[in-house]
Amino acid sequence: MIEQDTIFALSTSETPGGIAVVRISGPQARQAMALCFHRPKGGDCVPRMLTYGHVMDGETPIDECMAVFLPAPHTYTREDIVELQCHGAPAVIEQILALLGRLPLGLRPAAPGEFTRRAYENGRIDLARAEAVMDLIAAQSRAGARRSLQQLSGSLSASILSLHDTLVEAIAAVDAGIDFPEDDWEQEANQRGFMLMQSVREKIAELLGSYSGGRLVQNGVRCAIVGRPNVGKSSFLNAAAGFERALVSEQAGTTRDMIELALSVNGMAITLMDTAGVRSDASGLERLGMDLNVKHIQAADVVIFVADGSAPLTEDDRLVAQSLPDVPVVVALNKADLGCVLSEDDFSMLGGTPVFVPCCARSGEGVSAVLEAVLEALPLPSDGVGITNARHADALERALALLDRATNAYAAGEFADMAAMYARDALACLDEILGYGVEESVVDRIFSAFCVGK
Amino acid sequence: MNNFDVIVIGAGHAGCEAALACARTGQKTLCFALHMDSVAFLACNPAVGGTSKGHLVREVDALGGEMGRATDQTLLQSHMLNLRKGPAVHSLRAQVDKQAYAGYMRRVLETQENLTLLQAEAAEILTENGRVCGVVSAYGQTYRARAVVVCTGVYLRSRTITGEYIAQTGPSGLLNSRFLADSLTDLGITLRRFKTGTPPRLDGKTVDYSQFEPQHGDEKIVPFSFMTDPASFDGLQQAVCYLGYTNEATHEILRANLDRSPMFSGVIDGTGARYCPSIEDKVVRFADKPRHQLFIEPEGNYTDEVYVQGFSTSMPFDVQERALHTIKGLENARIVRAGYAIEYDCIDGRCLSLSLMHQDIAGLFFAGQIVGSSGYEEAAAQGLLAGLNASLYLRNQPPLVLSRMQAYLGVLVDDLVTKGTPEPYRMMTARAEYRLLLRQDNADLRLTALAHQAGLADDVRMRRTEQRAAQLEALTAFIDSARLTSEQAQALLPGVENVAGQTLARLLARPEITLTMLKPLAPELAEYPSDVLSLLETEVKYRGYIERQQRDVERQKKAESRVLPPNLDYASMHGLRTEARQKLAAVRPENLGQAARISGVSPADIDVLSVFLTQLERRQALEN
Repeated sequence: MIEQDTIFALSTSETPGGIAVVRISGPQARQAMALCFHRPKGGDCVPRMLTYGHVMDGETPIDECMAVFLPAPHTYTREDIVELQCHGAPAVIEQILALLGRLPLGLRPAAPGEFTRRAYENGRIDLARAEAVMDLIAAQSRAGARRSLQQLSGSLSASILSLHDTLVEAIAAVDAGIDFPEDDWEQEANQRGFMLMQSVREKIAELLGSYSGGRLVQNGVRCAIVGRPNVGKSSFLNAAAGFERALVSEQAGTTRDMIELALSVNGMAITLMDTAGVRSDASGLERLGMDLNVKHIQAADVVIFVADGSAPLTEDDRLVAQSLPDVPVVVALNKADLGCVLSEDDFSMLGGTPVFVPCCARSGEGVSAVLEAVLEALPLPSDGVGITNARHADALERALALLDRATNAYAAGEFADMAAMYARDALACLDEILGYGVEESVVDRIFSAFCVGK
Repeated sequence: MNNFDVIVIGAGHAGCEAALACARTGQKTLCFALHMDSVAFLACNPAVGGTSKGHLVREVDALGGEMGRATDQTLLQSHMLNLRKGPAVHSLRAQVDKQAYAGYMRRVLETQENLTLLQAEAAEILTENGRVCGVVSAYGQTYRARAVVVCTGVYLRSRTITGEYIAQTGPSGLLNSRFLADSLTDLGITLRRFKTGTPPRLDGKTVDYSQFEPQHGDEKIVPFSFMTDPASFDGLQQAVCYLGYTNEATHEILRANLDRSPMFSGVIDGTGARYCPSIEDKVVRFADKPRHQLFIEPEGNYTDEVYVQGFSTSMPFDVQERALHTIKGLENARIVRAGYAIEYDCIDGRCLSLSLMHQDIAGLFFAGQIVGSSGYEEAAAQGLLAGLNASLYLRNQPPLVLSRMQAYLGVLVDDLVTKGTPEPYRMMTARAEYRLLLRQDNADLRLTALAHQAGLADDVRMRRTEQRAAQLEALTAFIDSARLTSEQAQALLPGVENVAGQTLARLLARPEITLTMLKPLAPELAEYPSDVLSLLETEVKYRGYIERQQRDVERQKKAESRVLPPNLDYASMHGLRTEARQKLAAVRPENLGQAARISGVSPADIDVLSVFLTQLERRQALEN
């Protein structure tokens, strides 16, 4: 086998579907599965047998899925392959891909057409079909490069291009000082290079700050509705839907499955998730519903905490409050028509700065105000430039770390040469995002920007 | 009588190293010089080395070449550049005595066994069935040889231009080469026209040095050659250079006479180098700069001539003189030789293989400015490689190909051969992606064994390299295990926690700690020579990044190890874009790594090539 590293990619179409398949191929595939896929009963999977379990990021479940381990050589690539059949929501897929990239196994995203290439190079596809394979790979590879660019919105690609440009200028300035140390502009160029590197560093940090927000714009917001049983969560969902989507009854614990509702609020896609009410004395089927929903609450981008504003908080309310994930919280003080006895002080256990909005789920009054508060509570990008793609975010994070090293090396005094090398590596990360479409040479920049000569 | 193994055309910096490399590896060598008095002539600045060029000289020396020793022997002043920028880019630069340098080199050639010098113009290269078989001189004499190294520098159909005065000469009024260009064209080699230039030389007696800032050499001289004993420089009285500036009045005169400049009036059509602009170029392109610096450098110990670095020009003589007179300290300066531009023929390096042999004509090698480079050091390095590879070719051995990961020389050749150059090519550290590995302090450790194996570096040099390598290894083992006592560590880094118990290597990796600080605490360090100690310090300080670059190198090596057959038919290969087909067919890369560096070849094209290669490899495996 020619390649020794392990690669992964989404194997199904990138347009959202019900089920998505993430494929891992290479010698570390089995190890990767052991690290990120947990069967309820523990233990390894039986080869070629579809197994139920969860994709876990450490202790946090990302998705429930089916997985299969296919040992070499009887696989598509003739390498060990693991396939994760997960839910098709883009947010879930991105989390899984990001998780695979972070595993301490050196996995890397597959290049376009790489599974096919490996299949071919490892002898899986016979010689007679070589020409067809070459055409296929050329097409996949080019489409991949195009797609990478298409995934950048216009304004985002402009800002990455401009970062790329500034970084080339920074390296050119430092290198000009190195290659022409006796010219009178040398000190100035050196300073300027350092300054530019820092400014690129800051802008990348800023862009990365937009990642969570940008992702929300791209993939929509997942919003969990939580609260103790019978506090009016399903009524709230119905009011939001404008029709009776959820089964509503007076009996506490009616909702056992999770019910999802897709809405558009001010142009943003929001998925409301009605969850089973949490209470301490639940049992049987209701208990199971609660457990299943815990992971959906944990995966939410934002939470609507429904409380009965007309009555004092109960133990169950406190139980709910304690189990909330670390995301923005909007407190909907329901039953506002019955008067409000609760104040913000009652919710001090939530920490942070939750927003309080009175509403009446039964009449629908205040429900849209709650939804607007949900949007405001999220870190959405204001100017529309935001990172939405996990691969882009990953490349930017690496660029950021490298620029940190570059500026540190520089600050240490002696190592302008090393600083420039780290900055070059950071530049390569930006190249990845731009799909290697940019050919701008540092040397050309030195000549055009500085008066060098003998 | 006229039968040789190899003929070198030209006796400049490329020709000298090429001829020596051939003769020293046992080949009966004939070296053509246009004029015996201009062997190893430093036609431009009286200096050798500089950023990245100093690295090349070190590499030439490590490979068993002569340039480093010649420089050490004729040194006027020595300076290590970039001491504040990090060890990887420390670069040696030496002022040398021009006459002494040429004299030293000519003497080395004359005393070299197997080497014959001849003053004659090479007129025609003879071939037979696509192989080189000899050279005919302009006198009509035929010399037989199975390999020829062409090192014509800037002399091929050259002309020099000073204002309205155009002379059909080489540099400084020397003879040019009139006939060889046609012979190359007849061989199917496309020629193009490059241009470079040089500043005026002044009579030093007419310069008022009190108006300049003196520039002194380093107190402790680091030799260029790994074989030169630093103690041999003890007591050397180093020459002084002088720093001065142009001013608005200078620029005004140049601007007012642009219509008389051959650069701007269109007389010159050769392509000049952006890094080597003439002073009139600088004034036009950087119009907002109020002054440009220039250095006055001595041309030698036994002459008053001085070189005005930074003032390269092809303006008319009277304009040069008037412009110079506006400069503080040069009010009464007299020109000895006027500055000029020079145009010459050269080839496109993309018709060569990485061994510097022509792709279609076996035994025909090229080196130096004819390949599109500029500079003495770039020329010498190529000359050595082409000469050695001509010798290996004659001995039926595979060529020595240096990769970008191994040497600046590897970067230089790969750039010229793979990417080609649109202008005279100057080496720069910015061009070397692995420059933290390619340092001037480890050139011998990188290269000497290769040259020794090829028969060029002698046993004495090899033993010296092995000794340094062994010392470095022992020293590394020592500092990776030795630890300071906690009192010592506290004294060294007061207030810093967790220092006690750390190895010397860990301590040395800290930016604030130098080897000099550790010396009093670890007496064992005194057992090692200073060059090995500083080598170690660099490796420790860079360790993290060096390991990072090593990983890149490994990945790159994989690509370079996938050999592309020379006769591949790219035109009919499936999946390649038209541009890639054309570029690949023109360059004919030797491996997948090289192919990836060709401009116009995309990663998708490389994927296609990779698949194609696999197919080929499997087919071959099946056949065997």
